[in-house]
Amino acid sequence: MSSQEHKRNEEADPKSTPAKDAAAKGEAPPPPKTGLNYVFKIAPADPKNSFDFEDVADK
Amino acid sequence: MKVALIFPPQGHFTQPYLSLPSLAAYLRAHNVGEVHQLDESIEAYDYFLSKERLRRSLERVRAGGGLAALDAQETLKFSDMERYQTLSEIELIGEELVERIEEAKHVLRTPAEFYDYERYLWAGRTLEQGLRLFSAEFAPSRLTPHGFVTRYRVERSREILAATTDEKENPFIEFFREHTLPRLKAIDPDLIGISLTFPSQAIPAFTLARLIKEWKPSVHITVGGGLLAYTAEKLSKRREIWNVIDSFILLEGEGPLLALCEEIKSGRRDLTRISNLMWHDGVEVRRNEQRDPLDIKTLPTPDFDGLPLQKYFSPELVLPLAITRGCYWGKCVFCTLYTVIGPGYRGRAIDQTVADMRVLSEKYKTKHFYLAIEDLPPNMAARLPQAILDAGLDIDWWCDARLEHEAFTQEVCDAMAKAGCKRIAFGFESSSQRVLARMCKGIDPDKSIELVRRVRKAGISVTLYVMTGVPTETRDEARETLQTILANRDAIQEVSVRVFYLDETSEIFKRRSEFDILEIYPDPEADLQVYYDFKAGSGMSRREAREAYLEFTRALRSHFPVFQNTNMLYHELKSHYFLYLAKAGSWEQLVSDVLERPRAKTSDPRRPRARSALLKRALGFDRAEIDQRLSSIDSHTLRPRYQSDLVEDEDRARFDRELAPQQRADSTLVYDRRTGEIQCFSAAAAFLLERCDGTRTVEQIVEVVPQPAQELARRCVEQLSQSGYFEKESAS
Repeated sequence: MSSQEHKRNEEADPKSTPAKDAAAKGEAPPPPKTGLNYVFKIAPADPKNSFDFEDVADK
Repeated sequence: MKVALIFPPQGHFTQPYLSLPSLAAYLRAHNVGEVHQLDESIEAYDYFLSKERLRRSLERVRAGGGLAALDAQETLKFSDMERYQTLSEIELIGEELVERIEEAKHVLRTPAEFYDYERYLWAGRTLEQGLRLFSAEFAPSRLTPHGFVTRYRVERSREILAATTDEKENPFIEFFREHTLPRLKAIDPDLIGISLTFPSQAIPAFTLARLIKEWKPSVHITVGGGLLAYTAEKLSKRREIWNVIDSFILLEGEGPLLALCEEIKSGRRDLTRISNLMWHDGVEVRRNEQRDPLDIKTLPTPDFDGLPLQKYFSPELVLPLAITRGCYWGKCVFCTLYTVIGPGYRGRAIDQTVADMRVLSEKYKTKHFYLAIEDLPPNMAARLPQAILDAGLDIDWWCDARLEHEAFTQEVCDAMAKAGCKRIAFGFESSSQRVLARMCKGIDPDKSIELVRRVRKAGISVTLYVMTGVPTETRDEARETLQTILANRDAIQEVSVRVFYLDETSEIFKRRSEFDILEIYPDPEADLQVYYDFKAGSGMSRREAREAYLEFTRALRSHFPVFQNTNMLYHELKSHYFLYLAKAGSWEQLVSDVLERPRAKTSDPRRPRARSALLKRALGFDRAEIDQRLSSIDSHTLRPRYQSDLVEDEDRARFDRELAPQQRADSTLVYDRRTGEIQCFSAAAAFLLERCDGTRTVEQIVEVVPQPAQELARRCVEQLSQSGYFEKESAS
């Protein structure tokens, strides 16, 4: 996946509750434990967030 | 007489440099005896990136513990985040790296694999990740494809010497002891020449010299190369340097090195007779007379015999060849070439150049050349192409050149393309006539763009060098340069941008009041300081220059195919982009076949199933946010050290105190074994990925999500699909 394609989705209303029909089927709700519920984010894990032009300029 | 010529780490790993082959050819032509060439830079990369060595790194890093303890914390301070970044990656992919590192090197060295762009990207990423794993063992030292930095500053001789004995943070001590010394012992040389060109080589070079002296005090060690042109005089003042080396050769090495060989071979060892030599006579430093450099028409063809040519991380050799030395223009006030190369501009005859190309091409079975010159002179631009064609040479090559509007006519450009020229890199620097005039560039920006278009029309890839922050340059002028480049991006393939550094050997430094430089800031402890931070009375501040640079890099990533997305050809630089260009035949073909190739149509599975080739690791903190925070710190401060973005200890302590600690937020790192990419999934996104097990439709996957968020969840599943996270067979 390219860095251009990493879209940060908007945060949904954290007060929402899981859909009733899903609960009725006994399925667990999505698991965010730490507050930022239903943020569907996929981002590159890149220690330098891509290369630095200056690093490659000299050699 | 036995001579060992050594290129110490760290240089680039895609192709050999020219220093050793030039010297070796000259010494061999004069029959000095055995001449051995050791490229310890590629040897080190090859060994560090081996299964055996990476296994050792993984074990040592794991023995240090860490990730579980960090994950148990309530918050992470700055220094914790640095460790978290490293350790989370290693926990996820450490084993995978160890198992597949040899495969990655094989891909880069094998044409069929290298030119498979998906495989190339995987191999490039794997090498970088492998270097991160290796570097973690010696943290905070860091070895990358482009550099080697440690906490020790190479501007301070005291710190260079301290680094040479630091087993914990200097990975080269162990490497030299276990690998280089045995090679040298087998040769048992009488004279060792070390080539010191880049700052990244300083600590490894003196580390190696120290170890050699411990082994064989009687061997004469001489050090030469471009870096010494800046630093030899200063280095020579530190007495301890003379405990590990015997002499410096200043400027070009052929003549002095041959004379040194003859003195040692004869047993006279009279160093007073050798020109351009700096040495210590036991009482004081002696600097011998400087002689003019040799006429390069008298030099032999470079000789690459003995170098480990099969070890470079490239499927085909790209051989460097210097057809000129010096710069025929020689007026640019920011340039320090005169310091590095010395007086005089010299060229090799056209027929010699063609003969060199033929000899090297046949001997080393390659058709690829990099003309390692400052600028292709107009007379050679006009005559060399026809000479190549007349000789029937089937070669590809690239070089640097000045934007000589009159010289590069359409006819000349067409002939160059026909003779195999695939890429030319020009010093554009700025689109402001005022700034260019201050630089004494002697070019007109409008005419330069016309020239660029002619080169492009001929089918040659164009690279422009650009600089931000030349004293008196305003932010508007820098923006105008960027706009000019963007407006002409159909004719420009690459831009190499950098911030201006004030070098004490440049004309700007010497005449700094003319450039409104009000103050410079010497580091009192940096006895080898060459670059100075400064304050200017007009134009951009240093911070603004850095911001202009960042604005440039953002725009380049947005608008230039070679910098976009996951393209890594520029990142690997040197040979790789050029080889891909030569393989594709034209830039247009490279774009359509490789850089903007149509992606395989993603299936739209009814019941998506996550691919089994994914490795996952649940984390207590959001790695993507940590990456963003850490990189933004670098991006918003001027680099405290030239060519190093290592955080200083005092800054780390300050960041620990002042930065808001990172709060917990569950995330999952996902590694794709096919692409080598690592992504950080938020908890909700990771949850959706888990539900994509091939048993549910998209609607069933998202139905457990609260209604208001279901549309976002659907989009997330679609993103997973487009990103190739699903098995193809589940489309049925």
